[in-house]
Amino acid sequence: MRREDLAHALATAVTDVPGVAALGAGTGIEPATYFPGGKVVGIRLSDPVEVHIVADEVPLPPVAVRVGAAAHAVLAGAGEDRAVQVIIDDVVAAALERRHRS
Amino acid sequence: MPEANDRAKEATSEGRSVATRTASERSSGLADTGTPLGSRPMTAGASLITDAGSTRISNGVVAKIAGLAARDIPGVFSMGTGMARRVGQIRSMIPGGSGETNAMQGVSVEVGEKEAAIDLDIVTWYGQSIVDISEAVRRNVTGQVAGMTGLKVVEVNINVDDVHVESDQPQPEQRVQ
Repeated sequence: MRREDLAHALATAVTDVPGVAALGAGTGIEPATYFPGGKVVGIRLSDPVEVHIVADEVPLPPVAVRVGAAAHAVLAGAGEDRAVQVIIDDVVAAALERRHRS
Repeated sequence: MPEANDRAKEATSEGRSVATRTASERSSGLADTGTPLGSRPMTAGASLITDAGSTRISNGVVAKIAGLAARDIPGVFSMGTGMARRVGQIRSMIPGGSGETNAMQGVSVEVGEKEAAIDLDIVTWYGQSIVDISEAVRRNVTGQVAGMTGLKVVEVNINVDDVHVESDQPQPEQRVQ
C-alpha cells in the first residue's frame, strides 16, 4: 500500500473512533506524512506509527485504547506489523467542563 | 508539467545544467536518433544504449525532474542557497521575464551512463520535521528520476539551507488606497 494511501486510511479510521474530535497537529513540531502534492497531518509513519488526536471525551485511556485498536486494524489490513503510539495532543474544552459538572 | 512529453523523447546534446534552455533546443521526436543538431559536441549526459540506437538525457533534464519532484513535497518552502534564491527573487521581479520559478534552482546533478547522484538545497518550514520532509523528498526524487529516465539514483544528498518562518517577510501595511 502506498504511504499516502496508508496515511489516509489511518486518518479516516482514527477520526471515526468515538471520542476523537480530530487528528492532532502536535505540540511544537507538526507530525505529518508528506507525499507529492499534499500531506496528512497527525499521522507519522515512523516506527512506531504515531497517531496524534484531539480527544473530546474523558477519561482519556479508553479513547486511546480504541484509537490504537483502530490503527492496528488498518495496519494489519495493509500487511504492516508496526507498533502504534497514540498521542493525545489536546482535549476539547467542552469535554472537561462536562466532566467537572457531573 | 508541459515538458513531460519532451523528456521521454530524444534529448539535446547540451550537457550543462544551467538555467537558460529554450524550447527550440529540444529535439522533436523518437524518429530522431542521438545525432545532435548541427555539429554541437556530445557533452555530459546519460546514455541509454540499445542495439537500435541510443538515448541521451542531458543533465539539465535530470536536474529539472529532481527540482520539480522536490517542490512537490509540501514541506519544501523553496530551493537553492541564499544567493541563488535572492537572484531568483530579483529575476522574477523584472517585468517581462519568464515569471515561473527556475525548476533547477538548488539542484545539482552528476549523471553517468546508468546512474545519477543528486544534490539538493532546500528550505523547509519552521516547526516541521526536517527528517520527515527530507525522507519524503528523497523518496519522491528517487522515484521520479528513476521512473522517468531509467537511471539508477545512487544518492540524493539534501542540504537544508534555511528554515522559513512565517514572520520572515512581514507584509507592509498599505498607506494609500
